[in-house]
Amino acid sequence: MDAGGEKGRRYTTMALGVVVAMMFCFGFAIAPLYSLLCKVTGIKAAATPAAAPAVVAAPGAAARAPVDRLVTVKFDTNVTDGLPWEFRPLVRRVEVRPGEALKVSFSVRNLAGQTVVARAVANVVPWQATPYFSKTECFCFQEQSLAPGETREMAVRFLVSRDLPEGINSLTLSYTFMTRVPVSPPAGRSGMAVGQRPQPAAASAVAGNPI
Amino acid sequence: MCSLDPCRQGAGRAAVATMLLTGYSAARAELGYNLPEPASLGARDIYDIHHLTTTVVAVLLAIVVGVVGYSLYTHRKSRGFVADQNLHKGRFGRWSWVLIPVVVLGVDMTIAGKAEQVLESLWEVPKDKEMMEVKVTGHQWWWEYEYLDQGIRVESRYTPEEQSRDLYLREVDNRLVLPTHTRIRFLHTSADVNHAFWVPEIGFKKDAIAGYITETWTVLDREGVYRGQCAELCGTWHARMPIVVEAVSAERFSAWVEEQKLKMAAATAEASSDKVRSKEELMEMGRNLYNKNCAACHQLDGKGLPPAFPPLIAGSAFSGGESMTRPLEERGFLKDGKIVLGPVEKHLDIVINGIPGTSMQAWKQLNDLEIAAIVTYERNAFGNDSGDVIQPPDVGKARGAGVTASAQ
Amino acid sequence: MSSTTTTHGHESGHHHGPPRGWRRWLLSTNHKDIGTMYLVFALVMLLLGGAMAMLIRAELFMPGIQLMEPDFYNNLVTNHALIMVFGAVMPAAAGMANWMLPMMIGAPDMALPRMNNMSFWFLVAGGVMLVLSMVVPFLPGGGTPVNTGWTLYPPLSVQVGMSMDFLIFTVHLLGISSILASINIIVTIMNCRAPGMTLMKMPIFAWSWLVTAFLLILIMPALAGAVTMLLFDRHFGTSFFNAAGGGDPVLFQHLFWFFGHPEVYVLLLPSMGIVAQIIPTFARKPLFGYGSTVGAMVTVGTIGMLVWAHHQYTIGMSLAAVTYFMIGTILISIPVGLLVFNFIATMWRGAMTFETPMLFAVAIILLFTFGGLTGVMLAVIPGDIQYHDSYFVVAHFHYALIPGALLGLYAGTFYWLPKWTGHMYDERLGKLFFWMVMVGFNMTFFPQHFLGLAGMPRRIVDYNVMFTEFNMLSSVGAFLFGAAHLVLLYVIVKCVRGGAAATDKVWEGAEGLEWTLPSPPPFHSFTTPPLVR
Repeated sequence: MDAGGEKGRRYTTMALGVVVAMMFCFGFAIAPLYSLLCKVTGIKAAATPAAAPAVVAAPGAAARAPVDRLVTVKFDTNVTDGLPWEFRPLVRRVEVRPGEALKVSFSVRNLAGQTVVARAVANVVPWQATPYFSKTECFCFQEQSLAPGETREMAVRFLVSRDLPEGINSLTLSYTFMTRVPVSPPAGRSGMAVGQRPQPAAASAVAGNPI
Repeated sequence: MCSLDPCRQGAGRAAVATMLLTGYSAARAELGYNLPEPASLGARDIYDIHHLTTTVVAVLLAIVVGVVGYSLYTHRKSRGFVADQNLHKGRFGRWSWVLIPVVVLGVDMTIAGKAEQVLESLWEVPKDKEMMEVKVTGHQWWWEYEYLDQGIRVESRYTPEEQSRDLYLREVDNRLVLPTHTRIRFLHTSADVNHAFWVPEIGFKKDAIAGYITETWTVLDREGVYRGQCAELCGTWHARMPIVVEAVSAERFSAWVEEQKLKMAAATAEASSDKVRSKEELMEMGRNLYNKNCAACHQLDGKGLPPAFPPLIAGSAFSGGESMTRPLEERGFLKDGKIVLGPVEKHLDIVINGIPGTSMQAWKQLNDLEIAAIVTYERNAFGNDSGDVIQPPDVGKARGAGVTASAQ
Repeated sequence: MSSTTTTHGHESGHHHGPPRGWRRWLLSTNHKDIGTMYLVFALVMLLLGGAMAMLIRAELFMPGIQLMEPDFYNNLVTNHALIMVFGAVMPAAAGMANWMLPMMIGAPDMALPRMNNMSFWFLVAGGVMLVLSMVVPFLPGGGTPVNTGWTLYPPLSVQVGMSMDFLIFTVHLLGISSILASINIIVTIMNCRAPGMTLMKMPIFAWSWLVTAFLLILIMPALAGAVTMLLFDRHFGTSFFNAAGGGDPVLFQHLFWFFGHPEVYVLLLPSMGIVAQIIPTFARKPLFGYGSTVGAMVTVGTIGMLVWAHHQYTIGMSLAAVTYFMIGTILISIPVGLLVFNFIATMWRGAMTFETPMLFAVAIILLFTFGGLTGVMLAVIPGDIQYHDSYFVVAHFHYALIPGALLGLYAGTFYWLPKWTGHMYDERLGKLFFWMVMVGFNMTFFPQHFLGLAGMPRRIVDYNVMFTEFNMLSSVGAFLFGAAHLVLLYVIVKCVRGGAAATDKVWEGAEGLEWTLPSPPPFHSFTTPPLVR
């Protein structure tokens, strides 16, 4: 009756079950697989925030003189709604030569009445410049904790690679401070007069408190 | 088994086809239902490629409708046609599976070639060393524009229907003013969920994603007012986040920048001066600020929306969950189930720091003068009539006191 | 499965008949009964999803917010899509697969009849969960309804209240249902064909479901993974989709669309298979290019798995990535074009008659071609910069999905109702339904192309007055389209209850094993496999 028989059906069913399981794992594996693919093929990814320590300048690079052209680097800061911090660059823009390392500072102030922990995510615009922009020291490498009312200066030490293509002459480094806690939506009931600032994550942003 | 007259069959088919074709012609003629008139180079390229694809589509559709229509009319049993069982044996029959893909591929390559050209120009990195940069941040449910080089920040919210009338949902209180014939790079990000910035005449649309910066650039080539909307579902009021760009000449733009800087300086000076303000001045300012910031929850008449948002009127009954009533009682604003006008410093604490664990957020980003005005207004409006007048230095002191809320 | 036949050992299958009472349905392992249950479920969900569409179009009839809160509107938009995709189209296609596939390939039943039962009841469980997720916001402490659109993008979907968790479980249940059903279909087709029926002799509908089933097995687990990650981000402190913790909201988008794009082919292919059965019958000549049709379906499925990010052109991808997706998407027009060509060539020089199924099949060719062509327009990125997230996209996918999926199911319903019930349906009412759909559907969605071009975004509860006229036209069309379905319901119920007796062959030009069985076929058919030459 069965072309394949009882055995054939069982085999096909199990094989398909394995495929299903693999595809479920695929969803979770996609992020590491993607990084692997980019590394193997050498494709430069777009707009990846360098949250982890970026490529450190190779030893001996410091011995090579910087390229003699000036590139504008501007600094931008953001804070997501719900994070009660004030965050601004102390320097708005600098002119650097590719190959020359530089250190700039940012100022962060905690406006809340409790300790708040947040993390900065970095982005470089244009995205094509991302592989040529490296940070040797950055406050974005780890989470930052600020006491109530505390103000702190945070520094970044960065280097624009000597290999920066000729066509890129202006970069912007943008940081966004965010908490790991999801932001609740603003009160969305009817009768809202105007766009409203969402409420801060308040108590749940306190270090150590689970959601 | 067909009871429908064959002529009506064909007519019905033809009607559908005609509707589609005339619709296309109408779209291309300026019925006002086509892409709007471009205002930048990029938008012009997009407009052109839209017309290319529309034309290709219209031609292909005409061919398909024509062939099918002919077949419907001719190859019918009721007309005595006998099915040709050997159609697949002819040369066309045997090679069509190669021929058709090749033809479709040819059409595809034509479109793709032109598309790739435009795509590259839209995605290319501008080579300018000095480029104006504007950061566009999406919020729920308004836009924030920051001119990075000029240090100006604009908050742009929709204008209510009473004021905007026919432009409701297409007008805002503060527009994004930009210079023409200047290369501008936009940095897009979000302060909360995904939004998208879209102005059809400028010809770009980009997602705004929290923690990430996406970029676009443009050169506006004519002056005018261009309207757009948020183009990524972002929650309750996604429909109410219009964008209005006002493109002006470079000179006019410089003048506007100067105006804004003067305004900002004046506001800061105002707010931090030691001048003693009159009650009327504070009430007037407080009323505007209250309506803009507080009325969404506490309502224009101060009655609130119990049990979620308490009334601000002394003597009104209020009962809610314990997470609400306890903090209010502790601060002296609720007694025996009724709202009470508690002490001024506690009132300031609530407004400056919010009430953790509830919907009442901190408003510390408002300056001393603004908070003084709001609290003065709240304590005297809605029949509260306390006679209290709060001056900006009082607010400054309350901030410094670092009054912390009770633990959650 | 074998126990029934060895114990009773009969040929005609009618001596003991089907079991009686509620057990017949709850515990059914019979492909015909399970098929019927799928179809009834799908019809109910179609009417529910359609009612939601009526509410949506009623709100959009005029500018202003007249009927509902914005979040309820966003929730309707979300649920309309989920119900139509997962509750109506997929179950109806599965129902037709259940009914027809075993008969088409000369098998006595599906390969795994008890798993078949589980697939159906998991679907019902999912449906119940979905309804619960709609009810939760109305209960105290329920939180916001799911207001994210069917795409469920974080961070918004992380903000949503408890309904989202119900919805995540719904997706899990529906996913399991689909995956199990797909495994069943593949095992049946690969192992249970009658002797002599090679794969290339199978009815084309079986091929369409074979490709669909493989697609489902590959993509549904990815969706399950994505919503599981969402659940974890919502409740267990993970940061899959949160940049602050090293994640990315765009990851969800990629996972979703990795599922979501092939999903549209899942919706499309069974209906294309139905059309490929219908046209040869009513043109009285065999399907033109059977081999290339099979090849086209397989190619569509394969390329379809590789082009998902054409739904994400505006997220900020690199030039290389975005070019790849554009070219890949444009290339899908080749196998699809071949498919449509083969249908037209089947009609060409045939001797056609235009009963209701054929009317639908011809309409599908024309309207789906149009929908596919606007798809090519959308594939072109510079154009898409304007069209993305506007009503142009809404118009496109309704022109692709309604003719491409829904009308195909209607065609299949009219085509096979006589076989299922033993009665001819009312032809005049069938034609009335068809013409109401033609007018209503086109009036609803054609104007939406222009709304999109003029600048109206999608998923908005209210719009500026400049968009009024075409929205009104669209809403009127929608009400007509909705009303047509009352006719459909009537026709189906009337046919089930009685009508002119249907012969075995039903249609003059019908060919295939299923048309050698009586109408309706016995409870167990092909208990002895037929010989296929």
